[in-house]
Amino acid sequence: MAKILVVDDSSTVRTEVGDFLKKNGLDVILAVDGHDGLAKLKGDPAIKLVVSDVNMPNMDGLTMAEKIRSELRNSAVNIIMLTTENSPIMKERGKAAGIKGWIVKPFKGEAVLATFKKLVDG
Amino acid sequence: MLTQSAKDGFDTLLMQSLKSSMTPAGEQAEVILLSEQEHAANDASQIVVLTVSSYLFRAMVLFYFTPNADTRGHYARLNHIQTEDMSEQTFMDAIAECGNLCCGILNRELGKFFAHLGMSTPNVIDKQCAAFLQKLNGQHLQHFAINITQSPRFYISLCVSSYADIDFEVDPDAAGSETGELELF
Repeated sequence: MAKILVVDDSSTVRTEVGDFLKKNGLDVILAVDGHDGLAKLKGDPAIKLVVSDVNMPNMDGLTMAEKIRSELRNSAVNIIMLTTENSPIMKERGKAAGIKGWIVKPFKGEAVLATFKKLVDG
Repeated sequence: MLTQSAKDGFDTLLMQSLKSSMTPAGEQAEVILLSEQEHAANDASQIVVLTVSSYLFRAMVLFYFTPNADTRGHYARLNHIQTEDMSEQTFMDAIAECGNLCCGILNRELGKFFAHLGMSTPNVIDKQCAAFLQKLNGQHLQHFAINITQSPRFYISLCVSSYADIDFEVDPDAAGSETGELELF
């Protein structure tokens, strides 16, 4: 079954997003920062969508997205940023890294569920 | 130097951010400005602190809290979970994330006036640290309280230090940024 990787340093956000997606029939893996996200993605080819915060300790979400493409050479996985940030400069950096979309927190699950399912099902 | 309009702008944006981020669904909230004397009634024991900065200024926001049953109840309702399901770590994370959301809104709204803004991650410090706020030589120190229907009063302080002349004007009736929607690229 295709999986979603949720990356956020806040356990509140990981729980909120993860529980919502699980309740709606999606298989979810959690990671606490960009380093953890990269390691989990590397070890699990069933992950088809990454939903990640931007500002995190150790490795931020945009750096993780860049490394997914450059170091893991994974151009197939869809990446969406879920963040309080909304700066055009950050979005441009994300686009350059091939991210698929951007959500400004707070997370409103019903607004994005259908798209998440489409992205996971490929 | 901060103009009066800029000071009012910081206050207005923070008050709007507090209301948006700290009010549980279905509850009413009012954010008010406090005098130093009124702020002295703040007997919280800890603070979550975040900064929103550019090369022109640094805005430090302090969210005071006491880790007791009433505060736990508030953050449980805010996150739609049962108080008994809230571990110590979950509780502290919920407070930090609330500060993160609030300053995220402030950051986005200030982004309409300033380029190249950066926001810190939340840090928890002891309330005694607040006594040293004056040492920052800020040009604008303001205290607030948020009164929420079923919650204890929460206190917040804002300290803005500027490194250049700053002037901007906030329209208090302007709509905030859209949230929660997926913007596809």
